[in-house]
Amino acid sequence: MKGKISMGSPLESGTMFMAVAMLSRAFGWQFFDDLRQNDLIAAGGNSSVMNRMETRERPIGIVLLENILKAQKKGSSIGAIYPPEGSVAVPSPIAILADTRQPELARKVYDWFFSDEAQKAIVKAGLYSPFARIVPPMGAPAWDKISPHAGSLLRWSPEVLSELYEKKDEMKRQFSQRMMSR
Amino acid sequence: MSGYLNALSWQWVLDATIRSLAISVVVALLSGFLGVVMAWVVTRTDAPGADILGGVLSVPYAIPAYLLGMAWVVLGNPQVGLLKAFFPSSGSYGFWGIVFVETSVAFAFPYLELKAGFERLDAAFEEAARMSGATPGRVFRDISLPLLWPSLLNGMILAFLYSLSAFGVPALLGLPVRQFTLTTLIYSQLKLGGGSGLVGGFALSLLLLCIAAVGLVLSSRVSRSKSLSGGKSSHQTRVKLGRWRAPVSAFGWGFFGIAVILPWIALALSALAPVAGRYSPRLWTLEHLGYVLKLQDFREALVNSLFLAGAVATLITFVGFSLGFLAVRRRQGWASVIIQALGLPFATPGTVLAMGVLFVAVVCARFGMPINEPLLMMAAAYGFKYAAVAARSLVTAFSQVDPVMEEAARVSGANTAELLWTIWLPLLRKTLLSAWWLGFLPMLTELTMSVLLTGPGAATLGTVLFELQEYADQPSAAALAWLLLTAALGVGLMSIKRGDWSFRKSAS
Repeated sequence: MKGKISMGSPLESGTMFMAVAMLSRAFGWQFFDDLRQNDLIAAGGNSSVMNRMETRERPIGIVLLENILKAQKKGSSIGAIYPPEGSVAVPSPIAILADTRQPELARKVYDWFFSDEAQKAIVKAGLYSPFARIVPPMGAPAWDKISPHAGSLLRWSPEVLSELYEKKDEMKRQFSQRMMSR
Repeated sequence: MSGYLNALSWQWVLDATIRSLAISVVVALLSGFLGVVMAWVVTRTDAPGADILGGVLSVPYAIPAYLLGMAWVVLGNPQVGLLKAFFPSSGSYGFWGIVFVETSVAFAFPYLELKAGFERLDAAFEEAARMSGATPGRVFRDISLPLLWPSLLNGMILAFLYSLSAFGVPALLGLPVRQFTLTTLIYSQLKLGGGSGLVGGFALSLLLLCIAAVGLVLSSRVSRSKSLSGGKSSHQTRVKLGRWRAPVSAFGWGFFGIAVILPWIALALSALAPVAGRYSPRLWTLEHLGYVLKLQDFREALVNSLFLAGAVATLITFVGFSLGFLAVRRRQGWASVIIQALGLPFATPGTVLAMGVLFVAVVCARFGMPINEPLLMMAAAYGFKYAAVAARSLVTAFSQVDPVMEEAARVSGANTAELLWTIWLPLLRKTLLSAWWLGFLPMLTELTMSVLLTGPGAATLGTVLFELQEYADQPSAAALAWLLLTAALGVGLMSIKRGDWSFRKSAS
């Protein structure tokens, strides 16, 4: 595996930060130290990981599923491996600013995002819907099949999210010291 | 200070500082060498195709260096790279990769300066030496080089400052192998977030500025120039290269091929590939090129970028022209100080400069002066960043041209405005054009600052490129990059045909 793996930088990509946060939470920083032993590249965002896989510079990557699904539509031969421990979910929150100038309009947009129409559009773009009634994106298994089992440290919850938010600066610092310094 | 030290060891900072310095010095030296040789070949020799070469050699300067970096990553890819046989197993990453790509852009600073210099320089000196039996090499060493030394030095300083503040290439070619420069370290500190990251980022920016300031002071010590060259662009004869014609021409075109054509091919292949890494002609598709051309943002960006770059380039050329006149012809010390000081924003990483502009906008809003116009903020950032380029080359030109014409005009009763308009403007026409061009080209495709300052209705070519790269895919980004490079090549070639407003050696 040496010289074969790449991932993005959690300093540059929010989704990559989420992956680093959950993986370090579940497996400790030793997990990343081991990856470092394999001469991992940690730079750029999801699209640069995709590019390194497509060009076989680094054929294995830690990347968003939506990027893989999109690439497959274009004829890419990249496939997804779902880890048996479960996949990291990257929630996409939605909120209305307290001081918004258009509260009614914002509310309408907010509500629309929870409609079937919006959820189907989101799924079409390669993301999972949080609602069980909406089928998973084309080419992807049901979320139940790949989600971490109950009690797993990889499992997402609002409490976990606020814990990660507290520690975000510290985690970025840990990562940059372990993975990016020489 | 101690706050940011727990994230950043001194070892790390020292390592990045040394690397930044080493890269910038090597790039400046290589750029100076290539700039001199190329400018001499295209203006003073009968090498085949010298005129065309003269026009197209400025093309790499027209596209963001990191696109060239992108192309070299493709070319040097150890698995599927077209030129993988010529690369070490690490591909194009690391110190020499960064030096190479930055030089292929930065050599344009000394090159364009010296080209304008050679064209300004009265060939009488060179001819006199040649008639006295000096070889072309001797003429070059003893006549041309001493006269054009200020242009060369200034070009090398710009190349040094350029690579000191470069972000895209070290990020692309350095970070994957964990080779930080000051700019990428600043970026990662700012991205770390939190108070300590911010403090660390700005402390490192100050360190970078100190290095730039030391460089500027040192350079102003050695660049005391004498005005020896004549202002009239008299007829210029070309050195007959004889049996050296073919090798010299091959060297020039070889350099052009490596610096421009290879990346052009790499980007074309990346744009035509259905997915990155599959370059077989059977699979080629125009899908990505079509996608970019049809993009609404692309059209908006084209208009915005042409307008912004054109307006700001004109402004900084005018400012540089006035400052140069005041500093050189009127011996106003404050004008010289401003021109030197303009080197600092040029050496400041775009990220830091853009954050400064945003900070000013926030402060203005506090005091009831909201600046909500992203295009205006971009114009301010571009102006600060590139003003040095125009001002420095014009000051060099002013100091090299013999003021005899100005004195004649003054004696005949011309006022300052008439002096500038009827004497200096025509005399410095070529330098003014090259100064404008030196500002216009990088602003047209500026990315680092634009991405931070953009807003609704303010897409530029740089921001569209960034978005394609980040949110679409590599082939779409390559398609836009290829279109930009092709357009730059087209303009370079066209300027030779049209002859008039370009760098073409005029027959005046």
